[in-house]
Amino acid sequence: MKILKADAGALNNFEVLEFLKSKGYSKDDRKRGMGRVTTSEYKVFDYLVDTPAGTQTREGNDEFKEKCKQFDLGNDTILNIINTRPASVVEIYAIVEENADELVEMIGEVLTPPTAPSPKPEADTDEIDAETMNCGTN
Amino acid sequence: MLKKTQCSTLAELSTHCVCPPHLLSLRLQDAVMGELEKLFLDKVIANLGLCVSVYDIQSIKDHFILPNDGHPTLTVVFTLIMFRPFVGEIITAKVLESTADGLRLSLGFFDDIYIPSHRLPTPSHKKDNLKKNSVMWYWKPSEDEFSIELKDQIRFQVESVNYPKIPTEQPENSKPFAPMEVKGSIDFDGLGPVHWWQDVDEEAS
Repeated sequence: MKILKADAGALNNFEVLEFLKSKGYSKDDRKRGMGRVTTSEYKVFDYLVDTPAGTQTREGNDEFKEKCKQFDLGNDTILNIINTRPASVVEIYAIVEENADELVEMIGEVLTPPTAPSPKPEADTDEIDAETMNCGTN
Repeated sequence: MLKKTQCSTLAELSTHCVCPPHLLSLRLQDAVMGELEKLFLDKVIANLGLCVSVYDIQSIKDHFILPNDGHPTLTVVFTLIMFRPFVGEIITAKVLESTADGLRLSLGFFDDIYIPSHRLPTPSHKKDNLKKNSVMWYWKPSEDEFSIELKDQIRFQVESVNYPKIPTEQPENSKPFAPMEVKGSIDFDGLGPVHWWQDVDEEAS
């Protein structure tokens, strides 16, 4: 076995999820076991679908990457943000400390929020998310 | 130019693939795909990471039959999707074990993530939980005490990714060999159990 290129490209969680979906993986239990599926790929699918990548769209992610250019962030940072989709300043702080407020606001506008398992207590943020989600999915 | 590696990376490899006789009736692509998946899925390749999926097959060449073989051997160039966390990446994983050494986390498809006790948020202390036969960790920044429970979703930052060499001999009852080990830290604002920080948002607003 020879390694030709150790780093032939990068994929964020959303792109890996899209690839697995195109191979036939889905959350639908009835479809499981149909076609060529493997247990290990299913475990990866199950993990990714519950992360923010599960509700993202290609357009949303591309728009976010465009808007990030004004902040001069590294590729790693942008990938970290897209994969974790921080919803507050404290969540984004471990990734990037500068411009945290503006970034969180931009995230709320551009990236689709993950389906929250429990309702968030702040009514304000919820309203903004719902509004911009409707605007964003035109 | 050095390109920093990303969480999920594509890696291009070439290998000799044997096509056993019972697969010869399938389309060549499918037979080779099946063999590649058997060889690589869920396996760690040192310094490349854990193979998640076969992305595509770029070429299948050099069909030759070795003497005494009843099957062709092919040279295949293909791309794999590798799970290879980068230092600094923020990942959310579930607590699998909590011991005196720290926490062990799992992603479902990958279980060898460790948060050593010195990378837990300061100040932390532990209490033995005899009922569950484990050690519980608590963070006490002020008057309030926050606990880390088994099965909590933890947000951690990757500090290192190691590929230990396969040991020639292993003592009995030792941990099964882990070809890839990720060490992380939760000693920072926003890291640790996800439910710790949901309350902070409420107070802030």
